[in-house]
Amino acid sequence: MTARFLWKQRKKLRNIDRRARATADPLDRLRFVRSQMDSQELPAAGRGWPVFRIAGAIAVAIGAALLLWRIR
Amino acid sequence: MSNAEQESSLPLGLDVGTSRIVVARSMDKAHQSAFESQLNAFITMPYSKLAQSLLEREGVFHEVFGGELVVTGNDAQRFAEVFHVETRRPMVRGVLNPQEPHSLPVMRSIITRLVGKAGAAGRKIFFSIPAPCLEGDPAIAYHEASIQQILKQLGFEAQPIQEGLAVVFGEMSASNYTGIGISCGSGLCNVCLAVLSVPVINFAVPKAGDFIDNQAAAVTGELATRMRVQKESNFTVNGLSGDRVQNALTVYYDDVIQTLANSLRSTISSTQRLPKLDQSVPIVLSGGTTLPKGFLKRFTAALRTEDFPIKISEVRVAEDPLNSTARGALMAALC
Repeated sequence: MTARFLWKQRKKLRNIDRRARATADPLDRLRFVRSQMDSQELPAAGRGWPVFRIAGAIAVAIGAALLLWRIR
Repeated sequence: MSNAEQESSLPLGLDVGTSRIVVARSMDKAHQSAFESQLNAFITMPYSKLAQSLLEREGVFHEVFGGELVVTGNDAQRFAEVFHVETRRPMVRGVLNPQEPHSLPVMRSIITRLVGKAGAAGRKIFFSIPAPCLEGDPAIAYHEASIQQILKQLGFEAQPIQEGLAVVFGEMSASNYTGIGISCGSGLCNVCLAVLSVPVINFAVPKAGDFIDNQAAAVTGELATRMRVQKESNFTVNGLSGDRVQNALTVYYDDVIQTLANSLRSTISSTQRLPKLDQSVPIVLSGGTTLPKGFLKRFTAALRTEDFPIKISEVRVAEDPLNSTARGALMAALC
């Protein structure tokens, strides 16, 4: 699940929330929300950019570069 | 289609609670609901023609099961008070009582009295079921299948809905059905965190009204039924006083409130795939156990003793706490 996908999902949910608020009747609102949510997957928390993986990759790259530089 | 015919084909919502069974009917297109309830209890007495004719003459709701006269529903309470006996319960901790041989026939009798036969074939009905307790509860499947069977035999197309989710549907239109619905009944406190009507966390806490009644009765030497009556008539959760019954009820109310608040906090904290909530969410409390004055204040204080894992916008008791679950089940049936 990419960060872009999650961002899009959240945007869709915000959109559903905003459009549902335009419906005054509670039953119509529930019908609308349920119909929209049928095809949605809730974005889980803590699934943002893989910060540690990126930082780890950069650290490995810098380490390798330093090692090569020292060998030369 | 005449009005009566139209009414007999409209969907129904049924709250199958440990203490009461409530049916919600939609009265018109403006979504006005009407509620009817029966106590989910019974007493038995030996069969005799004289006793049966007396019950019939007095219009008491009863049936004959295996050589016994069984008085069910609201009338059972009246008889229990007259004879100073405990009512028997077809359900315990949110599901059919395994110790009670009359449980299924009594449930069938009360449900049939409340909902009647489906006027039109395939008439929709949503009925409430409990959420599993944190340690799991295999009896829920049997309970659900049994209630579904009873309703099917009456001609309904029955669908289960978890009690906490029904509270969300019944009470949280203002937040677009996002929030935490809690139904504090007799057998269990059912909790549901929903996001835009989708249930994310569902669980039940096995301490509720019956726990308070039984424990308070045990330490005061009174009948649990008497504790319940006192609790429902004039009890306020506002600290200890000179009255021993009030004190016992306060102690066990506090226990239930603390357990509920702690379970809510720990379950939400330990949920791995909790959706990211952009806004703060409301908590709505419903059910008979929330009725005493001071309950809301105590529960809010218990929540605020430690950090809560999600932002809470408000904590409130439902406008009509005894009918919230049935209303939510009706909303689901009308969708």
